[in-house]
Amino acid sequence: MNATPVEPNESAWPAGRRKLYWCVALMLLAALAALAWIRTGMLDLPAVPANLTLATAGLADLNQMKKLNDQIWSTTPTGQQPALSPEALLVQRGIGAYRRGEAKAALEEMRQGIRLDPNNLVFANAYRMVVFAARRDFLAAARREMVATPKFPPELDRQPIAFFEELDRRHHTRETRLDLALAWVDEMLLFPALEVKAPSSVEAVDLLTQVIDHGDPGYVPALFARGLNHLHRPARLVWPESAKTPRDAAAQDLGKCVAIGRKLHTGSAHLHAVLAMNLGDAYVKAGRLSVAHSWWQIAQNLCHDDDVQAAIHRRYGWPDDEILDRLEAELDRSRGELDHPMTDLALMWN
Amino acid sequence: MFVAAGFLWLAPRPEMDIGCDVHFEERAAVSGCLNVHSKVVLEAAFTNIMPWLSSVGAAVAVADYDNDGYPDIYVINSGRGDHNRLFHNHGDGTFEDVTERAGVGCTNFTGGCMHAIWGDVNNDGLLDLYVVKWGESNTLYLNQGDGTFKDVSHAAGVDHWGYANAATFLDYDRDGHLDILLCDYFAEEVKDPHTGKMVRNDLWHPVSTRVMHETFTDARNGGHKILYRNRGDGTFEDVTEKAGLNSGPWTLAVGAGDLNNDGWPDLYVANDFGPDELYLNTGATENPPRFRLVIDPRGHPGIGNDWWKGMNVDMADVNNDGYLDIYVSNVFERRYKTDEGNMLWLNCADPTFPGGRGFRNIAKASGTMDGGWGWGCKFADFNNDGLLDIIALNGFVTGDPNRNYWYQIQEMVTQTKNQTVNAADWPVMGDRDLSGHDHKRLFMQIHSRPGDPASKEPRFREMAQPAGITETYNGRGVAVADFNLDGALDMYVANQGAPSCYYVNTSFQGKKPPGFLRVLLVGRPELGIKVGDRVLASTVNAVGARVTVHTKNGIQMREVQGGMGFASQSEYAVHFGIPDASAVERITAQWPSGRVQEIEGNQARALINHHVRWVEGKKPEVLDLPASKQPRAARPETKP
Repeated sequence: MNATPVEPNESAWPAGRRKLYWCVALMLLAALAALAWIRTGMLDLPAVPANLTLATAGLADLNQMKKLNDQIWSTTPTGQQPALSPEALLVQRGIGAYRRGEAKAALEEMRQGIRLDPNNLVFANAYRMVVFAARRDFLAAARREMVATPKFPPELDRQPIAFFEELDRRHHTRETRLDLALAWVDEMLLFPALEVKAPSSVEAVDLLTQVIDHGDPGYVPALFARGLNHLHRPARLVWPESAKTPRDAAAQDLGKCVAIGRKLHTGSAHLHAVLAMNLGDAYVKAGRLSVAHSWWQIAQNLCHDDDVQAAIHRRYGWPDDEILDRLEAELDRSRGELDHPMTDLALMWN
Repeated sequence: MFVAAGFLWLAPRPEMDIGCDVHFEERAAVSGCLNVHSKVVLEAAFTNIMPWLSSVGAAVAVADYDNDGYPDIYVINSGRGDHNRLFHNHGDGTFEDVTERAGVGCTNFTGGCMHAIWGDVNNDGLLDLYVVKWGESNTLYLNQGDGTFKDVSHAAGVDHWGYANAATFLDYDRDGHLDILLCDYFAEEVKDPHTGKMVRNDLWHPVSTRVMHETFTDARNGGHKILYRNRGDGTFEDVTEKAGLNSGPWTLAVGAGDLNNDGWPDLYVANDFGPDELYLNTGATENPPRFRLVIDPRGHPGIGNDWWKGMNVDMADVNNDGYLDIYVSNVFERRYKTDEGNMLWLNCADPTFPGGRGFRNIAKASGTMDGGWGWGCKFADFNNDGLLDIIALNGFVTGDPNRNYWYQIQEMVTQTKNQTVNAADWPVMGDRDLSGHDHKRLFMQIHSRPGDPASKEPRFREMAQPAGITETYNGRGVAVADFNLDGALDMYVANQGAPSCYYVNTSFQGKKPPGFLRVLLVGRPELGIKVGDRVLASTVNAVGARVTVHTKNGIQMREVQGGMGFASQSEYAVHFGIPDASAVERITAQWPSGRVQEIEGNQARALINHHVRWVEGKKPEVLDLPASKQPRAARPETKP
C-alpha cells in the first residue's frame, strides 16, 4: 500500500487563530514602531539636505586642524617640529611672545599670520583665545586693585572685535563672519552685566544669521554658535520686538548640528555627547521636558567621559518645577569658566 | 482608650504655630500721631453715589525726613480746606505735628489730596515729598534740610493735574536719578455734552456725570499713567509714550520691583474694573528702556485670572527663593457670592512667559484669599521668624448694617457695557452699607510642613484678633516701619473718614526677642559704572537695591521700594527677622549701579540685632542711637 505523502495541513493553524496571531504580530509591530517613534521621532531632528558635504558643513579636515592647532600651541622648539607654513609660523611665534609677556608684539604677529590665511579657523581661534586670556587677566587684576572703571591698554582695547571687523571687511567669507561673531560672544563671557551680554548676543546672532541664511544653511560651526547663543540667553531677559527669537530657536540650531553630525559620521563621541546635552538643555528652554530628558540620556550613552557623565547626572537631579532655574544657574556657571571659555573652537577638532 | 490613643498617634500633625505669637497695641492718641481723616466731597450732581466716590484718600507715607534715625509719618486729609499732617518722631514713643513749620500742609483748595510719597529727587541726602491729588495739581516739596520744605512742582515740571491714587518713585533707567510714576484713576478729560468737545473732567464743576467706568470687568476709560523721567537738573520730562505706558485703566495701586531678576524695575499695576497689568522693563536689552506689557496665555494683560478689581499690590520674596512674589488685594464677600479674593502670586520659572517668569496664585491654598473688601496690604516679618507675614486692610463704605448696597451693585455688574458710565443712573446709596464692618486680616506665615525641606509654598494663619487688631474702620493705606527702633516692625494705618491707628509691636516685651537686622542703604550716584554705552548708577535712596542675608538654612532677600501699593509707603530701611544669628553666613548688597558688595562670616554676624547704614562702596556701619533717643522701656497703655 503506497502511502501518499501528507501535504502540510493548512488547517493545522485554524483560520481564526491565524488571524489572531497576525493581529498580535501587527499590534506588536505597531507598539514597537510607537516606542521607536517616542524614543526617536519625538526627538524632532530636522532633515539634512542630501547634497551636504563635510566641506560645506565646515567639518572637513578636522584631524588636520587638530594637528595644526597642536603645532602652533606647542612649546617644543621650532627646529624639532615638522615644517610650518609662514603664516602658521607667525601665529606660533605670536603665541610664544604672549607667553613671554610681550602682548603687543604677540598680537601683531598673530594678526599678520591670520591676514595671510584669513579663512583658517585654527589661527583665528588662537588669536581670540590669546586676547581673551589677556583681557581676562587684566580685568582680574583691576578687580584685585579695586579699580572702579578699568580701561584696557591700547593693544587690548576693542580686541578681538576690531581686528575681525577689519578682516571681514577685507575678506568677506563665512569663516571671517564666524570669527567676528565669536569675538562678540567672548565679550559676553568677560563682562557679567546683562547690559553688555544682551547687545553682544544680538550682534553675534545677526552675524551668524547672515552666514546661515545667506548661502550656508548647513555650516555647523555657525549653527552651533548661534544655537549656543540662543541657549545661553537668560530666560529672564525681555527682548525688543526686533531682537526676539522663537522659544525653540536654540533647539532648532542645535538639532540641525546633531542631525548633520549623524549624517556625515564625523566628530568625536565627546563632541556628539556635548551636542546632545546642549540640545536637551535647549528643549528645557523650549518647555519640552520629556524631549530634553531623552537627549540627556542619549548624551549619557554616547560618551563615558567623566565630565559628560557628571554634567548629565546633575541634570537628572533637577526637579521639574525648578528645572529652568537650575539650568540657568548651570549655564551661568559654564559661562563663568573663563579658564576654558566655551567659545574655544578646539572642541570641534579635539 | 487604645482607639483614642491610636487615633491621636495616627492623626496628622497640626500645623506648627511657630510665628503666630504676635501682639500689637494701638497708641495713636497717646503717641501724638492721631489723625481723623476727612473725606473728599464732590459736586452735588454725584450725591446719589457720594459714599462710593468719596471712599478713597486716607493715605500714609513713612520716612525719616530729618535724618535723625527715626521714621516720621505723613498722613493725608482729602476734605476741602483740610490739610495733611506731618508727624515728627521724637524717638521716645511720641510724635509732634510739625506740619505748619514744615510747610507741607497742602490744603485742598480746589481738589482733594489722595496720596504722598517720599523720595530724594535731587540726591542731596534729604527726602523730598510728592503729594498727588484729585482735581488739583500735584505738589513736589523740596526738603530744605532745616525742617522746612519748598514747593517746586511747577519748575520741576511735575505739577500734573489729574486724578492719581497711585504713585511711586523708581529709577526706571538706572541713571541714578529718581523718576516718578503716577497713575490716574478717573479720566482727565470728559466729553462736554453741549459742545461735543473733550474738556477737563472737573468733578467739582462737572460738565457731565458720564464719568464712571464703562464696565465692571474691562473698563478702559479711566485715567492715564504718567512717567516723569528725572533729568538730574531739577526738572523732569514726560516719557510715558516713549516708555510704552499708554493704557487707560482705572488704576488704584502700582508697585515697582525687579520681578525677573534682570536688575531692572518692572511694574505691577492694580486696576479696578479690569485686568491688572504687568510690565517688564527691557533695560537689559534696550537703551533707553521701555516697559513691555505681559499678555497672559488667555490674551489678557496681566499674569493670570485676576478678578478685575485690583486694589493694592505689594512685592516681596515670600517664599525666600530670591524672586519677588506679588500680593494683590481684591473684593471678597462670601455672603454675596463675591468669592474672588486676594491673590498671592508665587513667582516661578516658566519659559512660556516673557522674562521667563510665570506666576501661580496660591492664595486659596495658602490661606490668604479671604481679605474682605481689600485695600492696602503689606508683607512684613512681624515676629522676626524669617518668614514674611501679610497685613491686609479692608472695608469699603460703612453704613446701616441692616441696609446694604450689595443687591444694587450686583444688579449693575450684570448689566451690559456703558450702562454704568453715567453716575446719575446709579441707584442711590444713601446710608446703605457696602462691606463696611470688616475685621482686618493679619496673615502670619507658618511652617506648613515641619521638617519637609521640599515644601516651599508658604502657608498662613489669620491672627488679627488675637494680635490686638480689632478695629473695624475702613482701612486704606498701611505703612510698616520700626518706629521705635526696637527691632520689631510696627504699623501705621490710615482709615477712611476715621481715626488712624498706630500699632506698636509689643510681641517681644518682657521676652528675649528673636534676632533682627535693619539696613538703610545709601547709594552714591557719583559711583556710576560704565556698562557698554551707558553709565548705571544708584540713587541716594537706593531704590531697587537688594539686600540678601545668606544663612545655613537658605536666603532672605529684600528690595528697597520707593512707595508701593495703595495709598501707602513704608520706610526705606529694609528689615529682616533673623531667628538664628549663628546661621548667618554672609550678607550681600546689590546696587542699581551693578555693584555687588558682600560681608561674610563674623563680620556679617556682628551686624545682627543692629540698625545698620550701608553706604555704597563702603562697609556697613552700625548706627549708634543717642542715649536720649533710646526707645522707652515702658510705654503708655491705650485701648483702640
